[in-house]
Amino acid sequence: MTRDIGHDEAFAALGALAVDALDADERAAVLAHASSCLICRQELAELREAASNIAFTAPAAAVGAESRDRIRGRLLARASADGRSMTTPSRDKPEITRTAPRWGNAGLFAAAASILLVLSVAVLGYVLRDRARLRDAATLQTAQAAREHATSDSLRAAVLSRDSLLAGITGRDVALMTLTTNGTKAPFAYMFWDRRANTWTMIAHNMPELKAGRTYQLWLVTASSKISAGTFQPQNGDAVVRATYALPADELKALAVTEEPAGGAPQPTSAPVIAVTAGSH
Amino acid sequence: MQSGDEQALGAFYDRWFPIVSGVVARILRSDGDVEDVIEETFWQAWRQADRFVADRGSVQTWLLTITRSRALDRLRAAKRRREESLDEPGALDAASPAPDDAPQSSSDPSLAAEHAERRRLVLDALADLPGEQRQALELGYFGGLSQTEIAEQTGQPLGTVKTRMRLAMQKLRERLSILREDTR
Repeated sequence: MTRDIGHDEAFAALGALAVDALDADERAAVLAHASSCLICRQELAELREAASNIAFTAPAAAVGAESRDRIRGRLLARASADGRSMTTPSRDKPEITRTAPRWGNAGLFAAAASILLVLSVAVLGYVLRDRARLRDAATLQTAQAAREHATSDSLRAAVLSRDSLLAGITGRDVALMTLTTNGTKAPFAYMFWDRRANTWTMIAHNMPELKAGRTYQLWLVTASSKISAGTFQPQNGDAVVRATYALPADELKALAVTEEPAGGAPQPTSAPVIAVTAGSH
Repeated sequence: MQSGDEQALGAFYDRWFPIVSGVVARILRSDGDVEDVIEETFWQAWRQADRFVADRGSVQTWLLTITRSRALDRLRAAKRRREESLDEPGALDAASPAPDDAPQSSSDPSLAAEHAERRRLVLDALADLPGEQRQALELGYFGGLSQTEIAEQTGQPLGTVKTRMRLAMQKLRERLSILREDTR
């Protein structure tokens, strides 16, 4: 059974998880936490990306061009054979058994039987060739359907994501707040809080470009704590941030976005870039 | 490659062979196994290409996860065989730095230059880490050791190893954030 661990403990172990250096039980516990924690999932993805770069420090001199070409040849041959195995008819041929005529030396019956046999073999050959063609066509159609299914799946995922976003900003129980600051061309954001679904959807604009190693972090501020709702990196100043967090309607005091070190901080370490006080709308 | 295009597999192989072969050779140090594991890595990528989801991470992370997994599985299997035969000491040699520090090889000059630049940035980032943090990372990444095993190997308390690993990864992530968009 997977043991429960808190956010801080899981967060601290993400670096080791990124290089797969956790013991099995701890690994299971951290993964279980991350599956329901947006912050940890984002952090883990970034740490895994960083860890993958360590691969570039390994020298490749041990594997020369000859080996490279040999492996390449084997790989492509396997792929080619793999592809053929989908479209080539089976090599198993049906057995054609001949039954000895019962009529002994009766020449006429033997001749007739021979003609029938030749005709039967010809018909059987035609049927088998036809069946092979049908099987090839069916295989191609199956592969085509699989590809279309994959495309359909990704489109379906995109549509679901869009629908989810729309639901998060247009629901009956959605409260709208605008996060702003002063200045010309100032950054601003709309926060859509669906109090029934506990979803938070923030659409930000004009966010200043971040320096390397920095990120924006969204905070839900209550009287007793500042709750991180995730980090984000704007694209051309724009960003959509989504989070799920259950918070009683009267507990929210403010929303704020701060600039933090990449990966986010347990608590805000800088003044808000944009903010709004709850109840000001 | 997701649609089963063999030419795409060839191009994919050419693009990633230098990195994949480097990691496998660094982890295994055994020529016979190295070729085998490289082939199996690309074969698994070819067969599982439809499972790759770009939103969840880069191709680089996905492929190198497969690479490490295959190589470490082979390393651990070899280690078990050696332990059973009791004829050879521990297998942690694979985790020590490789003596040959030649640059990655590639038949494509622009790709070789890109790899060389990335390699320089990563080496610089690692060089900026305190030695014990770098060692913890390398034992984990190339040696396939857990933090507990690293603590046993280095004689350090487990808590110390955990702290080193955490700090090392945080610093590495910050230093390499400029590479993040390139890996997509």
